[in-house]
Order: sequence, then structure tokens, then C-alpha cells
Amino acid sequence: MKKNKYIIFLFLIAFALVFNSCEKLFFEKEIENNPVNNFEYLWNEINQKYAFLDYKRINWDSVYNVYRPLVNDDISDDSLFNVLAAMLNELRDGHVNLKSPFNISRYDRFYVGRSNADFDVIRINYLKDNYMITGYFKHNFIKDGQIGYILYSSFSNSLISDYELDYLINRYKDTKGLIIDIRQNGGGYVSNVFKLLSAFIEDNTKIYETQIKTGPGKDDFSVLEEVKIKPRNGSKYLKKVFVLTDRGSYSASSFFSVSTYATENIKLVGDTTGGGLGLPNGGQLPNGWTYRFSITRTIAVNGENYENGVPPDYTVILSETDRQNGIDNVIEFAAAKILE
Amino acid sequence: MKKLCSIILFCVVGLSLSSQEDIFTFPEKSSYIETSAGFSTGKIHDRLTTPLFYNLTAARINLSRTIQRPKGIYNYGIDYYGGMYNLSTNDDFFISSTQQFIFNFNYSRLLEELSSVSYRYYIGSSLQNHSIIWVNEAFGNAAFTFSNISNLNFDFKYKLLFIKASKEKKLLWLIKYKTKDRKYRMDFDLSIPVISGIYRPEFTNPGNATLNNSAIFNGYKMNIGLFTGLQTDFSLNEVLSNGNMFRYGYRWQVGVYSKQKPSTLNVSYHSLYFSLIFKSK
Repeated sequence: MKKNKYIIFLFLIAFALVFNSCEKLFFEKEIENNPVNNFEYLWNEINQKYAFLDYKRINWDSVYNVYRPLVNDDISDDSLFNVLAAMLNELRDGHVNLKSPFNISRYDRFYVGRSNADFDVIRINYLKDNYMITGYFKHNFIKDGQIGYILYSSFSNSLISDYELDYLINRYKDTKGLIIDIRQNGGGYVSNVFKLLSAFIEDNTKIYETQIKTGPGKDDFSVLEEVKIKPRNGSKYLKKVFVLTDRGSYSASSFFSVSTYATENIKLVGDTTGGGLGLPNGGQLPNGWTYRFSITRTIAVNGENYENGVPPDYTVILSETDRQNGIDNVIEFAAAKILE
Repeated sequence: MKKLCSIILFCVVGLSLSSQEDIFTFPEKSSYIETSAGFSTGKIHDRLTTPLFYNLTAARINLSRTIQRPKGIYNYGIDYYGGMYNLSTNDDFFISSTQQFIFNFNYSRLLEELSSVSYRYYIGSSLQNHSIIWVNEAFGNAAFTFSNISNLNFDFKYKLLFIKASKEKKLLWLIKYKTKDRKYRMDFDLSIPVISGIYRPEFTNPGNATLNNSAIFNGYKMNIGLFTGLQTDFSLNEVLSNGNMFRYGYRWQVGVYSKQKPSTLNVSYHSLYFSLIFKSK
């Protein structure tokens, strides 16, 4: 019996040891963490998975030839970060970032174009002192109560509630039209786009098509999938709606803007949006730094890809003279259109 | 691999030869309910989002039922792993959460020619479904990954009965007492996934931030894999007089899915567990 006991003991130990070491035989080898491997890894990921190399006419091989010689195994972390960040900024995409413990690279909005709004003018002369804040919407009546003006600064704060939408629609139900201002709105949750739009449509509406990168080739995308939204169950606003945009209207704001192409009653006024119609996908380098870049593309109902920006129905650039006189000529243009 | 096979063969054959053959026998018909809890470590390497291996620390709980019949054994149950995957790099530390569910149904047939009163061999097959949810906030929109792996396994089981005979002992070198005979059963299970259906993101991971409000699993695809890993379970069961059992076990599992593809997923688990097994019939 004693012999048995020891064999079981030995068996347990041998079993544990053998199998513990065995799993290494099954797994791929981990990529060695050195600056060159980190560069190669990131370059390859973009080369295979980034959705807009072709659309933006970026010669990624040329980018390799420019930046690869700057990386060697003796380079410091700071310098490696700077090289990788500069390489990523060649993509000219606000959805591209590299994140290390000491810095986050970004392609800022100011690279894309100037702001087409002066929020001091808006607050003093349009929202005025008695404006209301409902959720993340700041709003008030303008033009003697004939128009509702709603400033929506970000899609990312929280999910829009039914209560907020009901409140806004009921408050402005007797107006002739609404102005929704998403200038300098850098985006956020796409689900807020669906929610907000659902208040301005009467029927199920196809708002755009989307596809995902599915292979390393330039044209390796999934089939286009239609994206549809349903009108909300509660109150709806089906009169004229003007959405104000500028180059700072990015990502979810561009999704909102491009979706308005599918509606009759919503028009865009202002400047072309900043774009950002690709969904950023996250990942990690062999040294642990994380990154993101776009891996999907969006096609508008008119068949166009507006990754670089959604053009407005009416282009109106903020006039410096008007601004100095406390007038926002973009709002004025939209208001005039509503009151036509 | 040769080393591994030799050790398994040596141990199985060695134990068979040295086991006692006495009145302690396998029941012809019986049924058991097992509840177990344990601690697991392991690794995950999800090539879709990272070239790095994250380390698992998780609790494992299991609920299963075993029905023993003269010709074979049926077993079905569910495993749950809940815990975290973490990674430490030179200058950063990443913590992420995971929830995993494994459903299993097995039938194994007794190999009567090779078995005896005190040990038994079984071969059979099992259907297994393994769902892995991994949430790593560091990956932004790709934070959420769901992988579902369905396996058809080839199974081998070995069970050995033995008795630890009663013995006279002294408590504090003074008080004499006699221990009782203790009955044990040693189980060894080997499971090889012969064919696997792997459902997970194929090339990129759009995650839960969707541009399409009607699609749940954007970019997911089913791939078929052959011989995708290995699962083993080794346990020692102390059989009580009423037929209930205490089990002390070690379980090891490894899976390599969609090898050489951008969606390669490597997972491994080492679990130490303790079970209460209730004889229900």
C-alpha cells in the first residue's frame, strides 16, 4: 500500500511538471520586445488593418522607408514613441492614437481646420442668461420664440434619455423649426446618434451602410451592411431641423451629419465636418503600449465615403465682422431658412 | 511529447500492477452529483489585439452529474471561471476581467477486456462548448471579445480503486489508536478535441462599440480547427462509507485556435480543486 501512495504522489508531481512545461510547445512564441520589433509590428498592423490607406492615397511603403531608418535597438523609449507617433500622424486621422505611460499621441482637431463658432457669442446673444440645461443639451428659444436652439457639445457624456428627448420636443413643439448646434462636438457614443435621430424621423430609415476590414488586402472588406433606425415611440419633431457643423464636428458628429442625408426635414449648415467615419479598433504593441486606428468604413446613402468630412447642404463660414458684432451668421442663416 | 506519453504509460501501468484487488469494487449502477470549487491560473494570447500573453488568476466552480452504468459512464456539467487576466510590462500594468463557461456532455464506454475488479479503462467522446468573455479596457473599442469554441472530443478515462489499510498509531507518542481502512479511487481523464468550431472575430475586433445598431457580433466568423488542444484531469477521491466522496484534483487544459491566422487564440488553465460528490442513487 505504501508503494501505491508514493506512486500516486510521484504521478501528481510528474503530471503537474510535465504539463506545466508542455503548454509552451503548443503556443506561438512571444514576439521579442525591442524597438525594431515594436516598429515593425505597428507598421504591419496598420498596413493590413487600417481601413483608409487606399481612400486617403497613403503610400504606406514610403512611410516605412521614411521612418524605419530612424529606429534601432538603442533608441530610447521617448524617441521610439516620437517616431511611432509621427508615423501614425501620416494617417491624418483623429481616431488614431498611441498610448504609453508617459504620453498619448493624437491627430488633433486643430490640424483639420478652424472653428466655425464663437461660444461666447452663442451664450450671450442666443442662449442668453436664462438658457436651460437638460441632460447635456443647453437650449433656449430664439427669434421671439419661433425657433428652438439646442447646443449639443458632446455625444460622449452619457446616453441620451427618453425623458430628455420628450422634454425638449414638448418644449419646442410649437416652434417653426429647430437648430441643433454640433459645432466643435468631438463625438462620442454612436448610440446617441441613433437615439437623437429617432426623434426626427417618421418611418424606419436607412441612414448609411458600414463594412469592416476582413483581410490584409486593400479591398478586403465585409459586405456592406445597411444601418437602419426606427422612429422613437415617444414625442417626435417632424418640422424643419437645421444642424450646424464645422471641422471640429468629429466622429459621432460626422455620423449624425451623414445620417441626415437620409432625411428630408434635416439639413446641414456651416462647414464640412472633421470626418472620422471609421470605427477605431484597439491593440497592443510587444512593449505594452496600446494604440487604436480605424478598421471600418461608412458609406452614405448617396454612395459616397465621407471619411475626410461630411459637406453641409449650405456652406456658411462664420463672418469675423458679424462675430465682432455679436452675431453668429451661421445661426442666422439657419434661422432665416426656417422662417422662409 | 514522447516524454509525456512515457510518464503517463508508466504511471497508469505501474499503478494498475500495484493496486490491491479486494472487496472494494466499482458499483454497477450509481449516480453522483458533484460540486467543486478551485483556483486557476493560466494564460491567454489573443492575437487579434495583442502579441502578449496575459496571465489568468481565477476562481473555478463546477457542477456536474455522473451516471454510472455497467457498460459505461455518462457525465454532464458546467464549469465557470471568473477572474482576471493581467499583464505586467516594464513600465505598465494591465488588469482585465474574464468570465468563462464550459458546458460538457460525455459518454464513455467501459473496455471490459482491459479492465479488472479494481481498475477500469473507458474510451468515449464528449461535446463541449467553451465561451470566453474577455474585457480589457486598454483596448478601447476592442475591449470586449467574445469567443465561443465548440469541441467534439475523444476521451480516455482510467479509474483505479485502492484501500489504505488500517494502522496502529500513537497520539503524541502516548495514546494508541487504530485508523480505519480508507477507500480511494484515483481518476485520470484525458480529452483531445478532434474537431472544433471556433466562433470569434476574424481579422479585426470592432468590439461592442458598433456602427450598426442591429448587428451583435460584427466581424465574427466560424472557423473549423482539428486537434486544437488537450485537456487532462487527475484526481484522488476518498470514498466514504455512504458512497459519497471527497475529491482532490488537478485539471490542465490548453487550446490553440485558428493557428497561424490573425485571429489566433491561445489559452491554458491549471486548476486545483476540491469537490464534494454526493451519491444520489
